[in-house]
Amino acid sequence: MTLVAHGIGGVRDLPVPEWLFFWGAAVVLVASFLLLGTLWRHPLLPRLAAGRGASEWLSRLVLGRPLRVVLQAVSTALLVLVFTTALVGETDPFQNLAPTWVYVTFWLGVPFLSFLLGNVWRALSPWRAIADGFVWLWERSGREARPLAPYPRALGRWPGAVALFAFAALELAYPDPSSPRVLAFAIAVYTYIALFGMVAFGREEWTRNGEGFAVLFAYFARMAPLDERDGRVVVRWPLSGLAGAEPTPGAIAFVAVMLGSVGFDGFSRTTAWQNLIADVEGPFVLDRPGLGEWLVTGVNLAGLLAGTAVVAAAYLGACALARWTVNAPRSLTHEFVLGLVPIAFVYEVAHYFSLFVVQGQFTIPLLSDPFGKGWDLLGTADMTPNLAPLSPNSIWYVQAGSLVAGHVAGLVIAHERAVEIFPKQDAALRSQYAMLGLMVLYTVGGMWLLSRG
Amino acid sequence: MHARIGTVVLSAVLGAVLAFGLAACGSGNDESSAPVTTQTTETQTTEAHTTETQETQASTTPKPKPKPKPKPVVVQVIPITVKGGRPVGGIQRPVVKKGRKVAIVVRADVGEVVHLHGYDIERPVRPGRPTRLEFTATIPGRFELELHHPDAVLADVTVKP
Repeated sequence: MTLVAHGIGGVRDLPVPEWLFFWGAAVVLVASFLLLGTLWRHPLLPRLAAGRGASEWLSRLVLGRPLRVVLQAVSTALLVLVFTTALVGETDPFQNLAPTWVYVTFWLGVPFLSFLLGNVWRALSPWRAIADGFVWLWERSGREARPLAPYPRALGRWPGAVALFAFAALELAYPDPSSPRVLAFAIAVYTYIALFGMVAFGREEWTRNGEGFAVLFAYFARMAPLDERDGRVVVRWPLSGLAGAEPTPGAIAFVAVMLGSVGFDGFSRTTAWQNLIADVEGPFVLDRPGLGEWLVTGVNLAGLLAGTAVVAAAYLGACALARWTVNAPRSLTHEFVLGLVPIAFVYEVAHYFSLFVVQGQFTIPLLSDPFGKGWDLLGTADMTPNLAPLSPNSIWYVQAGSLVAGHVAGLVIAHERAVEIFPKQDAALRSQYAMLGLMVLYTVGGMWLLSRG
Repeated sequence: MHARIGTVVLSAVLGAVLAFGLAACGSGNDESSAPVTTQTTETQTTEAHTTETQETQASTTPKPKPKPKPKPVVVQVIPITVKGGRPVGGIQRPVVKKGRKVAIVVRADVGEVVHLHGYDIERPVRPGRPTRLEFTATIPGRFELELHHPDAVLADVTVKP
């Protein structure tokens, strides 16, 4: 049992000092009001999103078959390796590759890659790779690979939201998330579900809607300056991929899980929550430790659900308020949800940046000795990670700075949507008061969580 | 209509800037005056849990008496008692300044090992006898001290820069 949230890690950040919290909040407020008055009046992003096609040879190199096959082979091999280490390797989470790989290298690394390079998960997903390989074999034998059933439209991204919530529950609610054996079980179950989903509904449909990680990384990739269109690499303005509405069912739930889980991760490390957990488990720790752990899981799960529900309720409330202020004929909930994507991303940066930098270094020695048996496959087993590569000051500035930047980005996206759907400028502006309030709430709330000890 | 919204927005901006600016200044001042009182507040707040051995009493006595030794080794001792697998008085939250030598002394009635995260120090527990974890606080951050078998978080150690 451990109170170290976010899966694995030994060093936690010091709380953001109060003065920085107040300055950050002040900047957020001022920036919001300034932006509200000075932003553009006509839709801008669709034009910027068009971007420019990169050169032919670059597109062929990046999107071509050879690179894809290599990446997919490596990624499948890594899935097998990580699963095997989790299943039979050393049970100490810090001696085994699997926990660090799952909770740091993969879970934090791929979002950063997606944000920078676009939807890399299409080429990196081991589940997609296995499915692709299967289809390739199947079709070589002269049969046609077809999904068993059409994907039910009404489900939308709900399966993805459930998958993401399940991962967050394992990481943040379960008391022993970094146990390699537990991870082996989780990987096996998720691999089964992912492959079953792709067989049942087709690779594209399941990747777009049901494979929680793919859905998440695809959202982050929409902020990237790179995109793929008709087999060509396109260079576009960052964030421009977030233009437009998101009418898919379950999209709001998905984004709420994104924000709510990181929020709960922060909240679960506060003194109040830690004491609550200790009190819940206290009476059982000697006689019935198993029962105590299940109780803790239950309480954490309730917290995680509450966090997600609060985020979703705040968003829906703000949308209802916006609709009321402009007398919109229909609900606005699908219009502004993409504005929350940058905020979700910077929540991640603020919470996990230092974990990624510190704990991520352990990937290098662990790759040499993935099973914790004293091997040195790559000659890197003796690398000693630097546990204090960043001063607390620089971590604080990254945290506060990224939250403010994400806030501004979210406002810009929501504003863009408003001027697109409301022809009258006055209405566009008024619809944004509620959104602005919501985003100030999210950002200041996120910063407040970081400043709690 | 527009002019009115404009005024409302403007006054809201000004109000927010003033409020937060003042708050920031206020806490900024706290922050800048903090170093003077750090020593005493630190001793006061940690007194309940920690005792400073050979600590100079410079900040409490008006005239520090001349020391024969130029620099005494200051070890911050953090005592923790475990009864029934739980830390007595709840999870301890000692604060240590970076660079300080620290000794965590755990007296536990049950348990196999105590483990300090981050610094990754693990010591076996022998019931009835104190377990000492000594280290120099080189890494800033927050670190959990855990008891294993039965598992419990004993302390959340903060190392301040």
